[in-house]
Amino acid sequence: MNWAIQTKSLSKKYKGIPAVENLNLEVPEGSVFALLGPNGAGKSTILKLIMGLQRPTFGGGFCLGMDILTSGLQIRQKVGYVGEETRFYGYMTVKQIMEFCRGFYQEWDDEMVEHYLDVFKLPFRVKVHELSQGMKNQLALVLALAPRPELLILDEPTTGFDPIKRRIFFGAVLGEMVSRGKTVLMSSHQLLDVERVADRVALIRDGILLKTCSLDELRENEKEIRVVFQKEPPPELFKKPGVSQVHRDGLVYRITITENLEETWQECVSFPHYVIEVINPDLEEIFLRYMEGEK
Amino acid sequence: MINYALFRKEITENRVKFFICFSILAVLAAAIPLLYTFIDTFFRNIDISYFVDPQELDFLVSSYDNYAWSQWTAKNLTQLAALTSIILGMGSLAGEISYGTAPFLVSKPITRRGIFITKLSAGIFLLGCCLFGSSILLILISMMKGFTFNIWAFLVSTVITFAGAIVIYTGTAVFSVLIHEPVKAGVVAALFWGALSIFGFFKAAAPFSFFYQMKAVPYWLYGQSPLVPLGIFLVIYVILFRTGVFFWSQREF
Repeated sequence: MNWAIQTKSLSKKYKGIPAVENLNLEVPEGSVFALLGPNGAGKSTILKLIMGLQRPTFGGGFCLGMDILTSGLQIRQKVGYVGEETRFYGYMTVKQIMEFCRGFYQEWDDEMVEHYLDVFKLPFRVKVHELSQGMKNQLALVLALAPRPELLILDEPTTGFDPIKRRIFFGAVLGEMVSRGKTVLMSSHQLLDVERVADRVALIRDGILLKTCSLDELRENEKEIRVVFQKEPPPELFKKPGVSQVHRDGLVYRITITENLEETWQECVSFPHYVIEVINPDLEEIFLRYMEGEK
Repeated sequence: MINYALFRKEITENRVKFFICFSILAVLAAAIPLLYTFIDTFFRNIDISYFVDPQELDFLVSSYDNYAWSQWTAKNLTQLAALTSIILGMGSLAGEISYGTAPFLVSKPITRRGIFITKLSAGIFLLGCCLFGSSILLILISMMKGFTFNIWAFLVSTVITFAGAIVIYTGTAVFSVLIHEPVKAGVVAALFWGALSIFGFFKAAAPFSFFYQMKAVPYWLYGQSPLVPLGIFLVIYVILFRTGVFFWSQREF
């Protein structure tokens, strides 16, 4: 498999406090990859490290085949970036900010810019400071897509968007990037966004990568067995491989399984019980389970 | 190395500052030849020996060369060049940081060194327009008034002052990186460069004063090669430039 991004032991500390720890991340080419984690998990730092905007304290990696330690400039030439609440030069008009940004890139697709300014209904002659935050984010996306990037990095891009704007926004992302086989790396805690567009996810907590897998694998593997036992079950039952969490309320048990579902299921069934069922948790439940830190 | 989109942005952002500084310099530059006859007559007809050394007064008004240099290069131009350098330099990088636009700028495909050089170049370009524009205005009005003087030497002294202004501008840009608020950076830079002028108040220490060199005193009065102050300014500039690039490259957004 070809990787758009590959990091090795990537670590970053701010004044001695770790923000990213020993990150080994692999993002396949052509995928829509989401970094999932709560605020302060280190998602933005990871994105900045990958773009060569910040220097890692330890480790390194490659982005589009280029070393993130030495080729930041070349990487940014091929990467479109939409930061969280981008601050533009407020006195510039939309047209002026376009012309300003165009001056940094070798390629610039004017037709596409015009198309999306029209789709987002962004007025060409209005000053940027007069735009709402949502419109600024849409403008940031147009600016990021205009140089025809190989990789699009979105850092919490839909903060403050209503559902319609969110749909149009991701429509543009999918239309311009995914349909051309380009890679998208996004950070979000908006699970709805992730479910809609991502095909792979990485769960991050406190700067540590907890899990990387496809969204389908995550849904497939993360199951919950809810069982009401007739008497106290033996503790060994919950020490099976693949049992990640056990919640108990009297004789009602909620057993979270990440692998070996069948084996644990058979064990539970063989023990006297009143009710037993397998529940498919939604992404939010899975996310919360990982982020609560009980794993 | 210079990014022209960023260069244009810098020029646009600083155009009001430039216009104000250039207007003041232009008025002062025009006043020098226009008031020469009046000042010459005025000082010859009153006794001000108590305030000014008669020899010094004689030097000032004896020739238009000395008058123009002493009133322009050694006075107005140097003072306003220093002020303009600080005004232009204080917001160069601190502005990006304090207004929160630095993350947007650094995410573009341009190196930190490229940003620093481009911003510096735009400021130096505006400084040059201010200083040379007003000096040329002075020369033109002098010629129209029929005053003959050594234009070449006058321009060389302007080059020395300009080189000094570049150093002040670069130093202010360094403060602008370290102190993330334009006004504070300007105040600290003004205090720093003001402190360096203290040498100039003592006759024995005057040659070591930055502003004494910037006024082109040794070149104009003692015939010293202009390469000496230019060389000194170049060394200081290189040190300040490298310091600025270093601290700007270290900043993370």
